[in-house]
Amino acid sequence: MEFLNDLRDQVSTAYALLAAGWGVQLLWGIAWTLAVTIVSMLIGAVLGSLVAAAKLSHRGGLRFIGESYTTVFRGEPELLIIYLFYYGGTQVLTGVARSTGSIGSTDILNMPSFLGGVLAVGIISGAYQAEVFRGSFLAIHRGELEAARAYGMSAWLRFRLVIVPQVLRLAVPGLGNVWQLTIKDSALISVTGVAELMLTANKAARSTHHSLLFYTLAGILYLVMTSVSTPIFEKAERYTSRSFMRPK
Amino acid sequence: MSANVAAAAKSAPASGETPAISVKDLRKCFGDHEVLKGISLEAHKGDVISILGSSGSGKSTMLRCINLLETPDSGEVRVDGELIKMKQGRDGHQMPADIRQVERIRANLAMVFQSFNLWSHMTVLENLVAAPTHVLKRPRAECLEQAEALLKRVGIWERRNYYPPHMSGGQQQRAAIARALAMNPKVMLFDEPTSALDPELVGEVLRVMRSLAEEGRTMLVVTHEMGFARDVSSKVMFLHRGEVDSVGEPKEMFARPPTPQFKQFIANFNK
Amino acid sequence: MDFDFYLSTMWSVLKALPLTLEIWFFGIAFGLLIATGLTWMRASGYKLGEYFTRGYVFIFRGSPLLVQLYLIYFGLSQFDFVRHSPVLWPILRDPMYCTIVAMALNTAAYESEIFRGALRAVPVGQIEAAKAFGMSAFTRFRLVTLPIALRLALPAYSTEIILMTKATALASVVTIMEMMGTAQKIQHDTFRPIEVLTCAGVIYLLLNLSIARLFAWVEYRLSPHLRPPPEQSQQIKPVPEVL
Ligand SMILES: Nc1ncnc2c1ncn2[C@@H]1O[C@H](COP(=O)(O)OP(=O)(O)OP(=O)(O)O)[C@@H](O)[C@H]1O
Ligand SMILES: [Mg+2]
Repeated sequence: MEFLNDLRDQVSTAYALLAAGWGVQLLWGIAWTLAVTIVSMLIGAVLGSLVAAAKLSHRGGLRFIGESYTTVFRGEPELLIIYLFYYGGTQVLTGVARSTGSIGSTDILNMPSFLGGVLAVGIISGAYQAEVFRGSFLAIHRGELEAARAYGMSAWLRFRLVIVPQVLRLAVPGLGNVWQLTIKDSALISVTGVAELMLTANKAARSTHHSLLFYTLAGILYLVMTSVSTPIFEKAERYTSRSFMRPK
Repeated sequence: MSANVAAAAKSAPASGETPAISVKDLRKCFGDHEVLKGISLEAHKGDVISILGSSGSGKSTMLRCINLLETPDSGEVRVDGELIKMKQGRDGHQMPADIRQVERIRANLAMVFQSFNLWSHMTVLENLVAAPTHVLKRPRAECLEQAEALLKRVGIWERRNYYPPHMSGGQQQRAAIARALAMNPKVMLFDEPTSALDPELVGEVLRVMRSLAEEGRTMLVVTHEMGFARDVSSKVMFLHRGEVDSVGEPKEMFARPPTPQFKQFIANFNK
Repeated sequence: MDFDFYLSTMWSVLKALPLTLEIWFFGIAFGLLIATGLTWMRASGYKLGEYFTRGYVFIFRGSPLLVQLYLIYFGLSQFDFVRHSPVLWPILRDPMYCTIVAMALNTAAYESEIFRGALRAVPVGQIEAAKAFGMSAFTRFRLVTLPIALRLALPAYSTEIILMTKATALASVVTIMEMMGTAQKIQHDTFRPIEVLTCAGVIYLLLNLSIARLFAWVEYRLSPHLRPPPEQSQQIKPVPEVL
């Protein structure tokens, strides 16, 4: 009985806190987390496809660059990359601004935290996406490429008509994993002050002293975001591979 | 000469002797598909019984019910007179009452599989030694010695330190037969031992099996090798849709097929 | 280039390597224990065990490790019984122990999935052969299933271990002065983040590359049956240049 009363108290406190503004804040946090994740995924898609192409290249130099990229950005702590872009970015911007005289010699020009964050997370995401794209390319049936060549398709045509659709189809499940990884990595950029979900939960926990409540809420919201994306990617997989399924 | 003597011994089993294997009224369903509809079989010491039948007739299932890789729904299996005890499971299906007994009996019934099923992380020699040392608890040195002798016999002693994936199918199957022999089994069960092999590798495996038959081993052989069934085995059993269609002496069976189904079956083969 | 600065930074960060390795080691060791328990529960065939592990994996894989760490370090201390427990409190008030606990719980979720997959990938035929030769369930597991599954799990497991190396850096956000925390401090003191983080980055990279090497070596040693056989590799001779 006492436990039930306790629980009721907890729930009403939680409700009061959320109604007092933290609820809206958390919603904004979700929005920022999604924004960071989406932009990072896009940056990662561009970098990832370039790096995958480099890794598949016949040129040793390009291959080496591609390999190094994926090794470094999958081998370093995410936090370190994020600090490097945020604080390193600040160091570079400040240096440039001071030497051009646009700020005083003791002033600091901060890296915009959103920009630093998405660059860092995007570059990490790119390393994982590169592996996905490379794997998908290697999984294309060699015979299909040969057939395309045998029918006289140019390199560009082969790329557009055979390679791209196939890579996209094969990459969807892998990209789903990278997407989840990127959502989780986005929580780390709270350390640079982007007001995404993690930082919002942090602020709420500190100022209300209800850390259990807010971290649990944050955890649940992350779970919702990662698990809601699963059926979306499954749908995308069905869509991109519709020509490979039997007609109903 | 020796073949004749062995054949003579086989054709006249001492009456009253306990059969090495006796199966009575074996039934097995997968879902609502009845695969074995009451099979009975008796194998005496020295018998080589070829089990024929078209695909899906239940040959493998029958063999696997004998060493309890599949649990029969009803019927009894005796090995050397010993009944494999069954009990009613919670889900209404039968299950072995004493898994220890099953394990002991399995150790006496070495099986050779269609797809070899050699343990891929062990060398050939280790494959031969694993079960004798761990199941029969025989001393390792003795097992090693026997294993080398067996590998010489099946002609792959040079490959004793190879891993199975590094050998041809025929070599793998001969290794698998040697692995079975290393258990000194009372009865050997073969499930289509040559079906996964390239045609040119079938001969080497059949030669080994023929020599086993000649030394008087008790064997149940599921096979599609008509030559083996006719010339080597002492008895042929033809399964049709989960039932024993006909059983008999091989020369007799092939010369005068007792049922239209069996006639049809060999006719399809000779095409 | 300020060579001395690089050297002294490198040295300061390296001095924190033992602490990083300590977190890493205990996180992995406890993680492996929990993962073994989870795998066993999942494989036991009991519905309750299966639901529990499914839920566990869902929760720990679906949310960021940082949230899990904060929840354990800041969140759990809200419970009175935690603060008054003579067992839990000494663990949960210590940021270092909390990091280890969070890492262990987190990696256990991934590892249990790796092990489950590996167990399922053991060829049934080879297990059947073990059965047909009269091996008991335990002997079968020890001689056939386990050795094959371990080899199958190794590549994914090594990836997971490398993820754990990276995860140790999170200890710095709960004030532990391991390599990342140390680098952070130096960077704040000197305002030379690029140089400092590059030094730390080199150390982390070398660490992970060595771990990957080590695992590749173990895998190579354990899988002679997956390599080409002895003569075959000798047969493949380089093509003479005259051709
Ligand atoms: N584990 C199983 N679950 C469901 N059905 C099965 C199973 N094993 C066998 N069957 C079915 O039982 C029937 C008999 O199978 P069995 O393997 O005994 O045939 P077979 O005579 O050995 O044929 P083949 O010559 O192709 O090996 C087949 O229809 C098969 O589909
Ligand atoms: Mg069969």
